[in-house]
Amino acid sequence: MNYDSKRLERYQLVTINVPAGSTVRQWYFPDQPDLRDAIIQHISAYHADLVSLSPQNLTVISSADLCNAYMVLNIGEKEDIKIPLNNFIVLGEPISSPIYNVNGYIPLADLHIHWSKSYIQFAAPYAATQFQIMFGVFYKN
Amino acid sequence: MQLTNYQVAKYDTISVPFPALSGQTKIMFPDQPQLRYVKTFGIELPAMNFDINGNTALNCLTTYLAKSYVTLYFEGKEGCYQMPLLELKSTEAPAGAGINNIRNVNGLITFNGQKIVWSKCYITLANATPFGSNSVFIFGVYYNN
Repeated sequence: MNYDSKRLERYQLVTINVPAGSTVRQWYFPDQPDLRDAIIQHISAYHADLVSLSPQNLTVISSADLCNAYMVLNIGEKEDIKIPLNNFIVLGEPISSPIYNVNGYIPLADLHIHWSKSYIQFAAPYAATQFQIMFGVFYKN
Repeated sequence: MQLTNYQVAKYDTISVPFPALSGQTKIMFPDQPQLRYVKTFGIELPAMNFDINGNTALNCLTTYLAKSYVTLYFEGKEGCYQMPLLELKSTEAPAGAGINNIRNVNGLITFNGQKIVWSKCYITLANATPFGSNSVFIFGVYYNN
């Protein structure tokens, strides 16, 4: 079942940089001026099996690393959503890229997200190479 | 979203030219006079190897799908900014494998009747990726007047 019927109003790509040699588990979103007053409708997550290079020509997070991560969204000064990141993947196919949500986009309840207080949390720090965590944000004003 | 609440009245394809051996990373859409003031209800990246005029399409090539983004201009701004092309792909490629089979399991991304200014829209490649011959990116547009 595809349980989201919202139409696209606006879309923006959001990235979080994870530098090489990092020793922390939490990565906060950079401030998103264009999304400050936005109503968030749904989010799409990407990994390197889908999109290997970001627009900045940097490596995108691997599917294995993405599956060890949670997204914590701050809404109304509370961390109301703590969700496995791979719930937000809607691109894939059963054999070569089987990690995706068969329900399609998760319909968010027209959320006002405080981006700079929201973050991605990994099971363990990733110290190897630089990569970017990349999301598509569907929103309206 | 599945096309349950929308019935197709008009559909057109756009071919965005990518010249042979081009090293450009920003590729502008050509103007689309027939789509100038229309309401857009859906955009997709068809899983096709050739456009309607027989030009080679890059729509099913992993090399491009894995690093290409589209920016759409409407309502006075870049209202859809750097969306991965894969997000718009809702059908599997013919005889495809790997990334060619990847599609948006949610189906077609539907729009809300935005009037897109195509001549201000563009595709971004993460880095220069020349192709051997003249080619195109194909987009399918569901619209109405």
